[in-house]
Amino acid sequence: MTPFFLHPLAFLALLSLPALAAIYLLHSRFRSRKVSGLFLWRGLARPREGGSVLRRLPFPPVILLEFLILLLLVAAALDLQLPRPGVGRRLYVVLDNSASMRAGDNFETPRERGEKIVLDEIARRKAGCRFILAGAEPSTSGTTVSDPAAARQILKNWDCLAPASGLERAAALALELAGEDGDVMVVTDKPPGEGHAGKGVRWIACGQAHANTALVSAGRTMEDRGDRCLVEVIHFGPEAVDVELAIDIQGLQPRSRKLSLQPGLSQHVRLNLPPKAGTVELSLPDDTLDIDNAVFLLPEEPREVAARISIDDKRLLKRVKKAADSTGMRMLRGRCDVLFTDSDSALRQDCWVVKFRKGSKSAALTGPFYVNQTHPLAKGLDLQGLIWGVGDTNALPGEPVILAGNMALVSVSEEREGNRTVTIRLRDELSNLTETPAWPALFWNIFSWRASMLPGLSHINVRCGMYAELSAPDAVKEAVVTGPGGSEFSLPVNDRKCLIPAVRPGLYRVDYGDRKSQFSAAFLSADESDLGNCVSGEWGTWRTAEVLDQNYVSAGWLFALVALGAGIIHLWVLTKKRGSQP
Amino acid sequence: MQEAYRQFLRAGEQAGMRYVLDIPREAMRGATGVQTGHGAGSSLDFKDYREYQPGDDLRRIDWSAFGRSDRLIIKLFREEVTPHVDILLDGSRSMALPESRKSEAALGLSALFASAASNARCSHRAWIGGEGFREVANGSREPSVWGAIDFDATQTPAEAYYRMSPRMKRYGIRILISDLMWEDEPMNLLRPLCDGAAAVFVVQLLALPDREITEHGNARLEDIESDGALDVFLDPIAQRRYGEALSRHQQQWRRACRRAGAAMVTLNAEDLLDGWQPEALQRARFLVAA
Repeated sequence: MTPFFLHPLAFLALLSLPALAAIYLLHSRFRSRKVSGLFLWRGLARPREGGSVLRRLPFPPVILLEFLILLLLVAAALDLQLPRPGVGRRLYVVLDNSASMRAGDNFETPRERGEKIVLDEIARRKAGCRFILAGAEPSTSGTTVSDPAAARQILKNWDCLAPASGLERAAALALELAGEDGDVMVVTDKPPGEGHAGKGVRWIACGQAHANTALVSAGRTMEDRGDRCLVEVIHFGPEAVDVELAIDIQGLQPRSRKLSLQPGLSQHVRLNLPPKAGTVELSLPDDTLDIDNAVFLLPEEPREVAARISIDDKRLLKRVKKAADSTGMRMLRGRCDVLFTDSDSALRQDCWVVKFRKGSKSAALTGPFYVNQTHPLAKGLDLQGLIWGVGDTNALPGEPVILAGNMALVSVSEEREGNRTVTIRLRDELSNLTETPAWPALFWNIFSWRASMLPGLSHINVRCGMYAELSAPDAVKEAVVTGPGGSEFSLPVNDRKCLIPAVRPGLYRVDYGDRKSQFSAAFLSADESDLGNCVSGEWGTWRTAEVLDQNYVSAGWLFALVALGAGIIHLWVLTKKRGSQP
Repeated sequence: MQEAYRQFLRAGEQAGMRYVLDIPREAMRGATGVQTGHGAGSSLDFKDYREYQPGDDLRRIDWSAFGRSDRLIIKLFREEVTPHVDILLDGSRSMALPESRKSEAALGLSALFASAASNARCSHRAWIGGEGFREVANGSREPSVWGAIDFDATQTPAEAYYRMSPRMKRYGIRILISDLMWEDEPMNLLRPLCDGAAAVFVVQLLALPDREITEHGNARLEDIESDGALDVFLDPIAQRRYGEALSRHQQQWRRACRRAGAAMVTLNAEDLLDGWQPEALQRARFLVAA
């Protein structure tokens, strides 16, 4: 913080100095007057006795005193603000971390311009500064810094890779952190929304509108006869362009497709891949924003659940088999991932168990049924018009998922090593459950939930900004991720789960235990690819009064006080001078 | 002389037509004229008888008285004279003080005296003081035809008088018109001026800048005659002190005039020019109404 003048216009008051000098000059100027004889005036030529003849002194003390008083008054009017030692108003800088801040070809990017502004403000303020990265989710970055060098280190984390800029939420977080004692500065390339910039929030946009062609959507679906890919290309710009989409399918000859893109209109490209086709890379030529010019689409890995069925009730067995087969996720051979049984003797400790409890009593429940909609087993269940037959009324173990009154019909309990036991109270002959859509839906939920708990990634092709969810075996405690460009980092595995952030677009390799998985991240964000609404400008102001109160102390009163003292001395000098005259 | 000045001569001459110079008895001398003098002369007015003395004109013997008394009696008649007036005009620069009407008033007053002298059947002669006193061209004639009169002398009338005194007639009336603004002893001028004069009138002519100071503040006073300068601060105190100094100076002249037998009057130039009513001169019996 450097001293400054609160009212610099008061410098105009310095004109009073030459004015005073002019007054003295005019006052001491001797007007010429012709007289008939000087002898009548000689009596007046004795200064002390006559008191009327001025001796022109080169520097009359009273003039110096008056100059001093004027200077002091000007200084008081300028209201010099001196930085308060050891105190500073904290600054919270919201950095737009979205990818549009990287837009640049042969010119300075908005991020680079913004960094200069931020560093200048920190150097000027010399107060604590904290950074908040505004991506899809706001996050604080680093510790509080007060000098540009330390800030430059923290700003290395400002990578501008986010597919969205949650500036409003980040600014709200910054305002909450700042409270009444801090200021907020938002550095972005977008204009502020209504009410977002104002007193205490300076919104600085460093962007520039550009045309850009981008891949805004891409997907790969698994088909029996070969996967299908669908990509969506948009040109954000005022004029139509022709671009060439390069298609590189692993194991096949690279090819390209020429696209004629109209301004703002999307064009879809469908690709039918041969069976067992590998990674597909789609890319556009380089332009203003490179991050949205390429995607990798990996083949989905089929996630099958090895289900064993050990049910004595023939009717129920038939219904269970049919429902399990309809999910398409059932794997018949190999390990046992889930066991469907209606007898306690078949229970196993090493897999999930879905146990049907029949009972000896007979009761048919028509509802109402209460469903824990947050549970994975409850997805898409519709129990309207259902008759649920039960054979006993004993309490079910674990967490109830479906209830009829206070009677749990389906419950889930967690066993050792994370295995789950799903208990279903059902007398099939008294129920129409197995004949309703809720039955296969319930099985889909069971298989899907179980599949999600199998080792591997939940999604292979994700968007940047999302997480790839890894399910690991129980013994694995850490996953090593190798991202695009070879950057490697480790993530802990908790409860057999690990969330891997997809920050940069490209291919990721995950090593966990003795297993390996791969996923791709694509930057697919039409909002960020559209650079047409990027602007430059500044909005909002600092809280001047608060800044002054907290960071600066006014020195104006001191000058005014000295001026008052000088004025009293001036008065005393004049009084003494007059008193000495006859 | 500027033509503008001449109009003041004419104005003074015209104003003087209304007045007659009040001639003292002592001035009733001079060349043969039309005024009855003190002495015996050749007029028709009988004055006195006296015993014949050798050298008397035998034609003045009253033979009838000789027949009655057998004594030679001379019959005396009054003398007829023309008194003379010398008008001495101060030609120093101070008489033409800038922003004053002193020079115009001085010219007009000279002409007024000349005209009043003519009304009193006196001869007159105008003198202008400069590097010495010199006669004004045609100074004995009516003022409207006077020659050039310039107020450009750097010497005071006293210095001019000593450098070259005017050839004034004895027993004449001498009128000095001046602002008397010099520091010298008044008697230095009054003594020779009064010597051989029947009467001396001193008219001090002051202009407004001589009498009053209205300015305020610093002023560089420049003597118009000596080019000397003095820096003073003009305020009410200075104004008062100047007035006192001027008053003392006038008192000094009045005392000197009394000692020398001269009469002194102070006139304001502006007042004189405003209507040509020289009441002060009448009160001092310099002039009487015609």
